[in-house]
Amino acid sequence: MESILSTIRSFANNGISLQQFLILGGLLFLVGIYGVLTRRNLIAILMSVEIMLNAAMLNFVAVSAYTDTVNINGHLFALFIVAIAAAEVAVGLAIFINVFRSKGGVLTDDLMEMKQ
Amino acid sequence: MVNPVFFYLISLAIISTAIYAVSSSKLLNAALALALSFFSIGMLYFMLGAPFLGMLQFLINAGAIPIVTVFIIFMTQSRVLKLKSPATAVAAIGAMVMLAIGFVLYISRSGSSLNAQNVTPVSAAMLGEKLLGSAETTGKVGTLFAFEIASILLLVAMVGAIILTKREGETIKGNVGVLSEVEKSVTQGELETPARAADAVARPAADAVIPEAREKVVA
Repeated sequence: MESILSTIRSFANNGISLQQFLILGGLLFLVGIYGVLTRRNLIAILMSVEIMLNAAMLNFVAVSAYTDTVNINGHLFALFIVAIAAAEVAVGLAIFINVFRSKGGVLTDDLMEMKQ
Repeated sequence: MVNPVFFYLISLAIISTAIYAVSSSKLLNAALALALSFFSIGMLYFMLGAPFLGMLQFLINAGAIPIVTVFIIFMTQSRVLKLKSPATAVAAIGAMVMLAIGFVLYISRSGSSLNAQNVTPVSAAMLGEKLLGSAETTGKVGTLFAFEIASILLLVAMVGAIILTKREGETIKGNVGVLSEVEKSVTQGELETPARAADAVARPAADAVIPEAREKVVA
């Protein structure tokens, strides 16, 4: 019992290393890739791209926090990622509205003119 | 110091909600799960000593973007969707597993583990100084130019979204005065399709029309 408690205590006191943050970011990025590859709705694909952008952002912030106490370059990159993601969502969703008006749907199967 | 218990709890929330967001057939639930996932990522930013970025994450990624997405889901009437055939999903999962194995091998190869014993929170003032500082004010060249480019990008995206969603030959009347092309008194903010000046002149003013006919026109 005492050994279990000491194990838990040492687990809680050891802190989290940078690698665990990187693995979390990598897994999140892979989830996003899975969404981009398997979804057929354009809105769902955009949501998956959002997940990938956030994974990159998380990695930037984690590396920035772990390398140095006053290193904020990663935070700057994260800020720019937020701005670009917002612009991407605004334009992307406007395009989807246009696609819906002209094709009657927002599936990838609706946009196959280049294939024929 | 980042507490492992909270780290693993939040990681579980992030990954599970993200997986639900990319695999659910109900698009509305997927968008809300995505908001929850981004909210959890914002909590991690607070643990990493980035309170400003955490608040930004709550406001923009967990607040604004899911709301806009939900609006578009309603407007394009795609609330329930069919998923792709299982073969594609299996191939995608296989590719994911391969990438994950490679990633973990790459991470474990580079041995030493860093521990953030004392994370100092980065204040918004520090970020602003770094972001907007010039050689005259702080002695170091900041990222002012990139900041201006980002602001122009946001402006262009805003105008582009308005232009893209505008129908062919449609004008927006009322409070949005820039886009009105036909001089005519209509109710505030009302959208109307006939944009040719001849139509606008031929149609009687909106106030003069009897209520039933006016409803018909609006419908």
